[in-house]
Amino acid sequence: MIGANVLLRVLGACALAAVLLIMAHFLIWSSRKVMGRMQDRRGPTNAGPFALLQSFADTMKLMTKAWSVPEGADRGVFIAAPIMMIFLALTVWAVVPLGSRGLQVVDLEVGAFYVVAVSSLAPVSMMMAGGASRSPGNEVGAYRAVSRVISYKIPQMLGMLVPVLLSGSMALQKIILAQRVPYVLSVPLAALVFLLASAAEIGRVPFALPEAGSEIVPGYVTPYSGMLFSGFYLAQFINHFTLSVVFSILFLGGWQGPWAMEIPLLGVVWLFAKAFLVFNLIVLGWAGLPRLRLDQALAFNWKGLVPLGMVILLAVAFVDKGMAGMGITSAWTRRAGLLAANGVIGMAVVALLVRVEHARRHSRGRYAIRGQ
Amino acid sequence: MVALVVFLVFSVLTLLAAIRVVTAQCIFHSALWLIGAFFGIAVLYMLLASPFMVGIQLFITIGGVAVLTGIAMMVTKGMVQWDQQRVHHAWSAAIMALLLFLVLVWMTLELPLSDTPLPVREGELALLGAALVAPDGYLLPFQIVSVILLVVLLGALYLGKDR
Repeated sequence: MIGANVLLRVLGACALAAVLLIMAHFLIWSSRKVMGRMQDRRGPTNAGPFALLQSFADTMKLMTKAWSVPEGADRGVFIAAPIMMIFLALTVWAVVPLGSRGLQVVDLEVGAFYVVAVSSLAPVSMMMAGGASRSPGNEVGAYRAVSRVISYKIPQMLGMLVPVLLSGSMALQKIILAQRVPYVLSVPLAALVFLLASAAEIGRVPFALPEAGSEIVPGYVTPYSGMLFSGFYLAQFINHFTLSVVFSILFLGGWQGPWAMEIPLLGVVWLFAKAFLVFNLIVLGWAGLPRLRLDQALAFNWKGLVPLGMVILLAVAFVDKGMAGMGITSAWTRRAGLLAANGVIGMAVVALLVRVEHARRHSRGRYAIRGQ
Repeated sequence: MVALVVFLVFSVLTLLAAIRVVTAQCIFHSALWLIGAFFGIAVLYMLLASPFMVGIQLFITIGGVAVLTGIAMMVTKGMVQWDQQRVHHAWSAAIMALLLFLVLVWMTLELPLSDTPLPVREGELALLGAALVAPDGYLLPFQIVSVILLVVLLGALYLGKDR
């Protein structure tokens, strides 16, 4: 009896992993088409109707392409790095609730923290990739990627803590159930902080520094080709979708939607629809925004997102508990209060940015804009 | 039953990783095996029904300590001999480790532990959070630790400042 239960769980986990790996192909296809349309072109049109088979053609190419380990490189670690990246990308899904009942591998009490903790293991695989190839350029690329990931982990956690605070639990299912109205409507700034930090974590433009697709030397991914490269590529897309799903759970109400409580499988549909929207929002940033330099990205983190995240967390805590202390029990009043607090902070941030830009334009110092 | 099998498998894997930490030829490999050992310990924490400790282990021990160790190793070029690593004083280190192990075993046997496992309480995380900020709980050590972290941060900033 116990053996059957274990077997069922193992099969479920394998099925989830398989679905994700196949879904990554459709996500790659969709992002290429959507990005093309955003850039006023069609994207791939050749392989199959609407180029639906393009990703599979790419996969076949990558599977048959020759890959090699650089001379003098550490062979075991070199091959283990992309495997670990995919492993980490898939492990996060252990706590994702896909529906109202039974569609979650395990409902950890610290689900949100587990997501952040597992995704913080990515620097290990980046270090393995950079260190194994024994090439200084790749090592530097690994440091840059690691510094980006560990820096943006802080605002990601700060943004994640706001729904945890509002719902009173770190368990993802409880966060979803606590959202009568999605949290993005009450605390949009916290959602923005989490979204930007997550986009930087997964390495999407404007934060795609070392894995820059259009640069000649893509950092620690440089010596990888064929199936090993596809490990990093797939892991990046799966991470992208995973963080879209986590954002939907934390801020958009997760699997909730019409009839989702009665039919758990319908919850999957709603969750993936919302996640797809967020996915394309990040693709919009990818298509439209130029890439930041590493120092610009880190400055944005330490001078922008981290203080903003801390202020939002403090403000939400004070406003929420303050309203509870004043005896305001109407949920709509509390949401309005939180939204007002977010609005005030948002306006203050915009005013501050305008003043900083003003001072920069008129200064003679390091940050002056030449010719203006 | 399943828990016992998982415990045995992951204990063996953790021990193997720990042995490889000290026997690996290259120090970078030692660091990676250490990460593997920490991961095994995280699984053992999960078996103890303590998911918070799992998150802490992954986030701080692996994602913080081990990553920084690896970076420090890679950055300081002179330290890393990629090819060979002679371990000095291997025998005295082994004897010390054995003595420490015997002391730990003796201490564990002296503890008044029962055979039945403790019941898992619901809401442990809330209890931990309440204990950390309760004035008659662990509030003072919590604040002292945050002051220490501030000191570390200031020191790091000072050391890293351009001169």
